[in-house]
Amino acid sequence: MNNTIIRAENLVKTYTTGPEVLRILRGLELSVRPGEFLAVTGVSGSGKSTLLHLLGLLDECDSGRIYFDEQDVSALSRAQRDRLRNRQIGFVFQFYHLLPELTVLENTMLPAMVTNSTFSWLGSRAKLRKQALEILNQLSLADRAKHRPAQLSGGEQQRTAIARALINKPRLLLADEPTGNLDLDTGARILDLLETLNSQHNQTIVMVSHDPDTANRAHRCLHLEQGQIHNCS
Amino acid sequence: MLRHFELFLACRYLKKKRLAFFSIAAVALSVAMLIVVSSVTGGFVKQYRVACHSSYGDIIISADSLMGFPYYDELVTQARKLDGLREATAVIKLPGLLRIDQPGRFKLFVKGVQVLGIEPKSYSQITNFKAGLWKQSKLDAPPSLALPDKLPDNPYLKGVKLRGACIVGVEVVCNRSSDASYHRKKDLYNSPVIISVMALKRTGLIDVDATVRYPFLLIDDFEASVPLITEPTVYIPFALAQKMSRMLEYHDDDAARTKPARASQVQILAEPDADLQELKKRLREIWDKIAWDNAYLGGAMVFETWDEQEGIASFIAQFERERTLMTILFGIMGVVSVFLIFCIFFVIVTEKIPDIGIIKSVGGSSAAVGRIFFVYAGAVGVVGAFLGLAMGWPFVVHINAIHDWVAQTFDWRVYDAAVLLFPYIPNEVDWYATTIIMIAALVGSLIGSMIPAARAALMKPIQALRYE
Ligand SMILES: Nc1ncnc2c1ncn2[C@@H]1O[C@H](COP(=O)(O)OP(=O)(O)OP(=O)(O)O)[C@@H](O)[C@H]1O
Ligand SMILES: [Mg+2]
Repeated sequence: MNNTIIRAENLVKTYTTGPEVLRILRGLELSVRPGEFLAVTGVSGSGKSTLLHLLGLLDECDSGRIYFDEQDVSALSRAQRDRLRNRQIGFVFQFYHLLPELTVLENTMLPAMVTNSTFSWLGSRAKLRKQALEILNQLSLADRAKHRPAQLSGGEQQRTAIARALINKPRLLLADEPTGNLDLDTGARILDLLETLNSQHNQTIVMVSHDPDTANRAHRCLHLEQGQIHNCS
Repeated sequence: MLRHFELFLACRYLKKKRLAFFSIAAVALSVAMLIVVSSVTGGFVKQYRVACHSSYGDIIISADSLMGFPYYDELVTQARKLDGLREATAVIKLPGLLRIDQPGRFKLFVKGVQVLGIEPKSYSQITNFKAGLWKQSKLDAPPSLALPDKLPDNPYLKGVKLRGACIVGVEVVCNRSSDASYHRKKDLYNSPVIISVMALKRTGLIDVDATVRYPFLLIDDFEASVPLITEPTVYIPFALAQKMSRMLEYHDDDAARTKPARASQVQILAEPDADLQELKKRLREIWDKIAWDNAYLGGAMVFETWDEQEGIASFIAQFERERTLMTILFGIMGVVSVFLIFCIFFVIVTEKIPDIGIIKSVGGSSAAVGRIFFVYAGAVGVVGAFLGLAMGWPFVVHINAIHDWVAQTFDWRVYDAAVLLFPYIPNEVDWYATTIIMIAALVGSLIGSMIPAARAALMKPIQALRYE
């Protein structure tokens, strides 16, 4: 049983707005093995982002359990969960969520800055800068390093968000529509990059996409419907 | 421990946010305003106290009667030996009239005055008498009430048999203008005036047959530091006052004994660190012993520190009440300022809630978020407070120049020295109040930012990210 990196058990998530109760996840089961490249598809509003947020410890479910490395995350302290988010999980938001006051490079380095104390930051700063620039280079953003998010196109912001998710070399990469706003060509390059990460660095990836072609690039494809997970047909 | 990225983000927010500058400006203006208002109003009370104090010395011993009290010289002699006491002097106070005796030059000029018989040397050691003198303040020698060796060449002095010299309170002979200066009529000086007092019989009744009037040479004037609360006063030599008021030693034929000379008051200057209440007690003991030894059963004696005197105590009480009122008003202003700062921070932090979500989503802790805004607000508070000090301090110091400039440029004089107590607006910064104000501004900034920041920091990351 000890061969999952993340596992969801009987996940239930509802949203209540006024009298309406939206039952988004209804006892969802999911397990991801280390090194897997998994795609989750589903129609818009089916709860893909909701699921990914729960897996990324950004939100809390109503009932059910999430195990990271077979460790129940609800049993972790706040600090431990913060640490997990910071070191082990990289999250690419559907809507990028970059800090508007920081440059592309600074946004990319943010998780690394959070990791380091003042002292260790001074020591590792140059190295991390080089790493960040390398990642940006791979994402064709090197010449945008000094720009602010407001000066970027949607696709460039998305790539910045991907760079930020990768900087701390997380064991689990959660990507919510990473190619959603990109043209085919750039989207394909992003997928190539994810594939390379997966095959060469054994990077575990859970990617959400509503596009079947994109989802097909993954090794395994799951479909989210009626709050439950099914294998893609 | 503060992490690098927390400091980094706080600085970045400070640099990039126009709102940060507005909040610094709001803090600075509030601080400056409170410094100015508290320094000026506090300054009035202080100025008033200092002025009163320097007009009276520390302790005043007086007879509760116009007839005065005997053995004052013994009291002075013994008091001078007390520890913690610097100087003592006897004073005679009596009501009188002053007439300017220059027929043809001035209209007939008569004023009711308080005649004060003093020994100028010791009196000026106890009070700021010398500093207020128009001419003699510039001399090195102690002030004098002696007639000059060579009388001035003045036609009005012809045939006048001068008894002595006098100094008048400047308000007796001049009017005060709105810039607090006096226009002196030069011809009044070195001319004769007539001071008349009611002669009291030894029984304390007016002697209708014998009003005492002596010609004096007006040699100088005295500008009190609290002009509007002191009565118009004329200063004459102690011995002459004693004679005019019939307080000299005399032989009582009925009782077949000599009655000692009397004075109205003994004024005392203590060492700066002396305990005045203790000193007052010791003086009372001395007096009781003198009275006992001489079998004197005369009228009641009043021992007061300078600020316990009737007129002054009630005046100070009034000032203090005003100050309390002011403090309450400041409190309200302060609360308003803090609330203003709170609102600004609330807006700033609320606007940053999605950022907080991002920081938390990459693993930043709630405490880290709190520290970012703590540093941010602390910087705003500190910079704002010192900027406020930098504005308020020079404003207070130059407040009179600023007021003059406004008065001249816009013909708008708020502070009219002709009707107000002091010639100048107090221009000393009240550092005690200033320190409190600056700390309050800092604390206000911190609290103002911590409440919204704490609220945001405790949200789930996704909640913060989706916040609108
Ligand atoms: N905070 C919330 N309050 C109420 N309803 C919410 C909230 N967040 C999400 N929802 C609802 O939950 C449903 C699932 O949302 P989610 O974002 O997971 O969908 P999705 O599958 O990612 O869709 P898309 O493909 O359009 O991104 C939607 O119907 C949405 O309206
Ligand atoms: Mg979505």
